[in-house]
Amino acid sequence: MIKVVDLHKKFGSLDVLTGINIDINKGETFVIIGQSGSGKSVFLKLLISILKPDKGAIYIEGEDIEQLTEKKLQGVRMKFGVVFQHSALFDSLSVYDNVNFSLVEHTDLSEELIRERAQDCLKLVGLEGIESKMPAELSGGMKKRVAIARAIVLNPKIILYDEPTTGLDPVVASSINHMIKKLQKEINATSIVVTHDMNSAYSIADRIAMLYNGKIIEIGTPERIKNSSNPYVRQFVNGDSEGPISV
Amino acid sequence: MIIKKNLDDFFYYIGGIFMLMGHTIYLLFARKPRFDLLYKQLVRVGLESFPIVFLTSIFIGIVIALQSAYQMQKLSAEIYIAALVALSVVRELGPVITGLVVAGRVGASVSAELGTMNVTEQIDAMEAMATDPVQYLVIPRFLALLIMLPILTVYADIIGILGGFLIGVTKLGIGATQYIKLTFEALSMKDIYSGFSKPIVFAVIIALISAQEGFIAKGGAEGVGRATTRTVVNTFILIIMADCLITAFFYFIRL
Repeated sequence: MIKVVDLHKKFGSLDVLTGINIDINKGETFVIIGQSGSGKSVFLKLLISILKPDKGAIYIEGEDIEQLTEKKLQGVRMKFGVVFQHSALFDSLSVYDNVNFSLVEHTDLSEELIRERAQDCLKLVGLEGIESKMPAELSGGMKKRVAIARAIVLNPKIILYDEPTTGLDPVVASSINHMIKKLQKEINATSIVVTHDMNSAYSIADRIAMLYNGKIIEIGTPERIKNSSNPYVRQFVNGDSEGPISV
Repeated sequence: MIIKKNLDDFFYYIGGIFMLMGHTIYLLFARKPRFDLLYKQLVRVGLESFPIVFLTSIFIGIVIALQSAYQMQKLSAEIYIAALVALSVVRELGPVITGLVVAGRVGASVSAELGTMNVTEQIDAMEAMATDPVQYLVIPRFLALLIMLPILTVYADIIGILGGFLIGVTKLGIGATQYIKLTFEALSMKDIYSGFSKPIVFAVIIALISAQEGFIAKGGAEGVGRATTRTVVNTFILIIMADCLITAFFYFIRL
């Protein structure tokens, strides 16, 4: 589904990613863990070509996204739904207009069908009757759910979540985890989740990869990560302040 | 080292503006503009600027008439005030004051809006949803400025002349019809061309600088604040520079 080969990215003199190789299978929930600033979000932005890699290649369903024309790239981007870290809802648009944004921009559906689809998506994330509210009127958890509804409106094949539970209280965070699993079943999309919340990672992941110093240092099932012998991974998943990872 | 970094930043900035300009021009021809978005911007950029343009222009007209009356009275040449007001307003002050007012009002708000969208990842979200931010955000604002700034300038010219008229007629004893006649006699086609080419250039300057500053804003609220300040400073300087160049151009060519 997604194949990443020797991916490098640098900002100025700062090496963020230094050779990432990953294969992500269709339908799996793949979680990437790592410290803040380890390049997790950068990796997601490289996947949808908002940032360009310095070296390496990304294949989405066999297509090298670096080689695509702008038009084809837009086609590839429509396979993705992205839930940004702080939800990134358009704050000049109502909840309804946020959710139907892609439908209005990219389909010729009638207004009625668009409304129906947007409402279905909001229902799927457990939000009804808030269509006319503005993002500023919503709580963090609600914003996140609207962002998820917006991301799934075009039935994406791949959903990217950038720290979906960061900044939410534990109850809301767990409801978001639950929702990610539910969506996984209902729309059968491949999910890539970037997080540093280990509870979330264990509860949703089919596989977990840990990013450290620009490289993937361990990859495997949640069980394997939990019992990893790699001291970096052990320190991170146990949340120890002492160990080889410098703070 | 510092000089090299500053030079790099400078060329990076200028390059960014020219790339944005290229992209904008390409999209203007390649795709149909979205009229719903354009309409919203026409109201925000244009309609809502009329009151402030009215206020600045009428006072400018009054001030020019009063200041020149003070000098002209010594020579008993008050009769030339109609021409003086008309020429200075249409050729120079109407376009420049309107450009500066709109740069301050609209340019700053575009930078703040796009800058905030940028630092809160809304621009990334838009790109991720396969929508070109230049098409969705810049084109409507660019077109709205290109349409409304000349209209606002004509409005400013009329109101400025009206300001001079009020002084000329009430204080200097020039007859109303005579004042109007003198005004029209003074203006040539060249003045109109010169006065009209300015707002078009100013509109391009305001739209591109404010959008580019918004797109490169980073670092939260402080970054957005800096972007907004830079927009106002840079557009003001560029508007005055462009004004000088256009004035010189029309001075040296024969039309």
